[in-house]
Amino acid sequence: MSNARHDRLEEIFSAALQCETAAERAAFLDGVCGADVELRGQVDALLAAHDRAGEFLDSPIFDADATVVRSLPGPEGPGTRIGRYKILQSIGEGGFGSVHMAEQEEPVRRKVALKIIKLGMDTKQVIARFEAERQALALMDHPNIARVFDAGATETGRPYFVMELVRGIKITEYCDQNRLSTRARLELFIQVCRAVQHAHQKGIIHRDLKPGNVLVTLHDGVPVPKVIDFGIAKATSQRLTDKTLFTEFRQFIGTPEYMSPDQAAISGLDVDTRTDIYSLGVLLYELLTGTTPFDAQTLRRAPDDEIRRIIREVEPPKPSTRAHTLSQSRPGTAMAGLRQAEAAALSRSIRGELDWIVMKAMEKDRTRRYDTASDLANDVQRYLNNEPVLAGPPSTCYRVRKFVCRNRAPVLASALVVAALVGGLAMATTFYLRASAERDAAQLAKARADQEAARSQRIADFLQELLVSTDPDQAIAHNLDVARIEATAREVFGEDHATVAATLGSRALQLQSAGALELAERLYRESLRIWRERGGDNNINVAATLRALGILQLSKGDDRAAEQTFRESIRITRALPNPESITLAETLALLAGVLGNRGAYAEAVDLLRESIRMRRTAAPQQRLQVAITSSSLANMLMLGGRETEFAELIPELLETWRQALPAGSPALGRVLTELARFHLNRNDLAGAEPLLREALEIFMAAPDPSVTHACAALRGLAVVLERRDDPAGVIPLAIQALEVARRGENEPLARDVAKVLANFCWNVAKLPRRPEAEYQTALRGIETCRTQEPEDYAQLNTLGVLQYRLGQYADALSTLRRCDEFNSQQNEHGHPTDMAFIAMTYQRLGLGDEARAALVRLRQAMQNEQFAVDEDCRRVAGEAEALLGTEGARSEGGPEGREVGAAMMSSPSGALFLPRERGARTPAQWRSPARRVLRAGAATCGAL
Amino acid sequence: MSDITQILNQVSQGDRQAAERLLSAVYDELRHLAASKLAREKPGQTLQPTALVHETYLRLLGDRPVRWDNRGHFFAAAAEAMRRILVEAARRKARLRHGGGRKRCTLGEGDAIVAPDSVDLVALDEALEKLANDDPTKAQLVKLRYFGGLTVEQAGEVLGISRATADRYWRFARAWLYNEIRKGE
Repeated sequence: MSNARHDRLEEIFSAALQCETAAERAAFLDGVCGADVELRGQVDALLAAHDRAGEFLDSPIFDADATVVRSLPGPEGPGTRIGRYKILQSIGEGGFGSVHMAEQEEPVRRKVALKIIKLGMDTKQVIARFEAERQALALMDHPNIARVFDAGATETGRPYFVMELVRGIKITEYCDQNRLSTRARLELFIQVCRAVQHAHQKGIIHRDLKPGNVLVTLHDGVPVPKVIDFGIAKATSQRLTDKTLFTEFRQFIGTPEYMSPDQAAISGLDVDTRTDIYSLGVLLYELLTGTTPFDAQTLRRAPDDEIRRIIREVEPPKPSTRAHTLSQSRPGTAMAGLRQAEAAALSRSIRGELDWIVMKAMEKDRTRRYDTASDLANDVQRYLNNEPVLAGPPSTCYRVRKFVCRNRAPVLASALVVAALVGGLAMATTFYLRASAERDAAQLAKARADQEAARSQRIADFLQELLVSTDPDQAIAHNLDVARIEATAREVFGEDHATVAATLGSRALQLQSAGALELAERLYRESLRIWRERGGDNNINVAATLRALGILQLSKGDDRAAEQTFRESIRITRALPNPESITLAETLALLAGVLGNRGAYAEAVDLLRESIRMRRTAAPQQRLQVAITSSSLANMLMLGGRETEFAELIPELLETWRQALPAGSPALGRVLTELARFHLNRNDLAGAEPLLREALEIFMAAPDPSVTHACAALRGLAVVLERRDDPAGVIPLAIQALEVARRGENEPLARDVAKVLANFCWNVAKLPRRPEAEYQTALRGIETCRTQEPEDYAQLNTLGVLQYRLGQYADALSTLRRCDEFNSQQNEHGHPTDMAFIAMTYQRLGLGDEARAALVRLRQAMQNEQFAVDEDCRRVAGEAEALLGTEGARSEGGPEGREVGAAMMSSPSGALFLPRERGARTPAQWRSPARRVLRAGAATCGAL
Repeated sequence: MSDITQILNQVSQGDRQAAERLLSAVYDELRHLAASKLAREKPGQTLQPTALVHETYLRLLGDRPVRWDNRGHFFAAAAEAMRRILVEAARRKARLRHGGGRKRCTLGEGDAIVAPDSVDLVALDEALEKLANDDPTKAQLVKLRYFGGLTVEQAGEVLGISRATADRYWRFARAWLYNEIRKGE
């Protein structure tokens, strides 16, 4: 088929799908296909295929759902029984899994909702976590909460939850479809708050409040909101660990719009009822404006760290501002069914008190939020009663303090990887500081700077209110054009161009964080034009605005434009009479980031060196900035392959970070770990060890022990000690870490630490002829792990191997046979790590026949090519061959053995009964001939 | 360590050779990872492609911030690598079935990454090849979605087409493939 014809086929097919009735479709097809019978036939076949295709290809092979082990049945359909429940029909699908309507027969007959969670979660853990909360959940009894009855596991091992069946739609959809007034929306919202309050009083945190979990049903025509899924988010939540960080993120990216800053924190450990207050704030925001505070698209485009940063640091626009912007920039899309004039009226109606209520609920700092859901509900009620609300506009002083706080945020960024955008944050602050001051902030006294910042902020706020309030209908009609904003600004401020330009700049910044990038860019350009008109090109404000524009271009992904813009900003700054400034230092670092992105490391390095030098002279007190820039420099050196220079930089870098961070700060620990990793790569054990020990100490002593990071330090130490021939040295430290993790009552995390510890123990167990004390230490380690995971066969195997090493042969045998019982079900010949030690244990016990039988199975297991290439398997197989070869030949190398050997040589099928070879064999000798035999075995087994 | 970031940047600048290097790096890492996991974890373990790809991502890119479009290139490569591994495994299994061999055969990485029974991967792959001849964009969309695990919208972003277009293409490609596979049966 030619391409043109293929395209035509697709066009007709897609259009036909749009037809609403069969008749309409037939008429359409008659018209477009005419006499082209072949084309019509193809279209018809495709349409039929479309109708019949069902779930074909619907879930990616990547979806955990699709990776069910072959023997397991497919997705649950109507009629399937799950526990006491019979599935009636499917209600919905989501990222978490699927929801079905089901019937319960015993002990009562009722219809329930059955939520089946995707595979890929650890069923045991999910159910255990649910069980832990079950009693509390049972205590919840509220008309606005859907009850959770039960949880269990399906035959395919997926966790499921049984809940009260709620026939309703999302609260946001309900409000929009019925075009509810603001008052009616608030009344519904108050009921939601009361429900959440009830749960909080019973000690249950929802953790995943969003419109999809707040459904509205009609009871006798009266809308009743119902909060669903209480207790489920907690049961299915997994902690971020270095291993699951990315996986988690993919789940996290689903609805970051509703996630509180507390939850978005990398550790996410410390979450309390106030996380729900934040989500309620977002829900209220959406009920009022029709959209979420942060643009979903912007969030999606950002790198992981950036999303977390946005949630934790960026101040969203107030609801009234957002409603206003949306009604103008995207008429008809976001504000479902709202006419523009209505949108404007809405914006006016929520400005002020409702803005304050929403913003208070959504405070980044949870101590500034409402303490309880009830307080939030009461404040909304006060608004409805026309009483003064508790929430108020944030004071200027508070805002300035927040800017200063935010400037410290980069501390949290990964030590060696500092995204250019993090620098953008610092820039945002200085932009405010500088724009109206027209002076170099570094030389301003701090008090003066605060004052100026406050003034700028007040003006910007004032003007923003003004722009929204002055004749909004007319402003909307003009679709928020730049000229109009400028005109309004001029009207207010007269010819104070600087204020106008600064205001445009700050407005642009707000639009930028709200995701209106195009509009923001236009405002920046207009602001630039005014600055240039006023003071020519060579003007610090032009440079600062250019830099802001560059950051915007960077966030649009337009690196090339950003590079040009930064270069221009730098050129202008350099031409100024006093170019040694922080501004320049920051812009240099930004440009370096862009250059690094496209691999121009050499220039990036030069720029960063200059930037650091400048910072040191201009603002020696800003140690953190120096440290961050130094880390960027280190990063670029490494990326550019300049190892020697990197190594030279390390002592200085370390010193800089020590000065910049308080002693004992986990961020310092991460820096130490990173640097140690570099030492390790160069096999500089003496360099790495003290850093790792210090890091470990810091992580363990931190008030919220960063066990995840401790694992990284532990792994590093393990390498150091192993290379020093002390493979067991790290185990006591790991045991300590595990104990700390367990005290934190964070099971998944503790499980990860246990895995790391178990691995350390295996690394000792697998080595023959180590001092007994080492095996004892490893034994202690593996026993500590196993209290947590009694069913983990890898750990059980390590235990057995250690028992063997310690001469406890009877115990070893029973342990290893338990492993083998399990592993033989998975693989008919068992696992080499079991078989090798079973063989050796029998040998030690003097049971030659059993030992030989086990050796045969070991060899068969080693035919599996995965095992054959695995270093550990080969090591232990070699050890077993050596032991049985030597001792077997000496103690009982009778004629029987030789006969079998001869049989093997003459008959290929004999390979399956591979005999002992004569004499002692080292693993190296074993490898080649035995492999040949193995291959022969593989070739002939088909015929057996 | 810098390699992959650099390659990703080159890919995003349209360097075709870089795209091949990326694919081979991802393919090797995936295979290697699957193999070593199979050996280390106990046998019979089923590997989850999602977890494998994410771990590959971590190993190759660590926790460096990666721009969304670059991440798209990575997933495109991972989708292609995973398709090859799985289709290879499916072909091997099919050969064994038809060749009258008994059940003993060496275990490959793909065998432990289990595809849903409802889809015949070999047939799907052949149909995809055919579709790619007429319409490479739609075929690529299917690969990104089905083997790469992206949403239709994300796949659209990688291909530079709008959400609406991506949805339309998806419906068409799905029907086309379904039809093609049934024709072959």
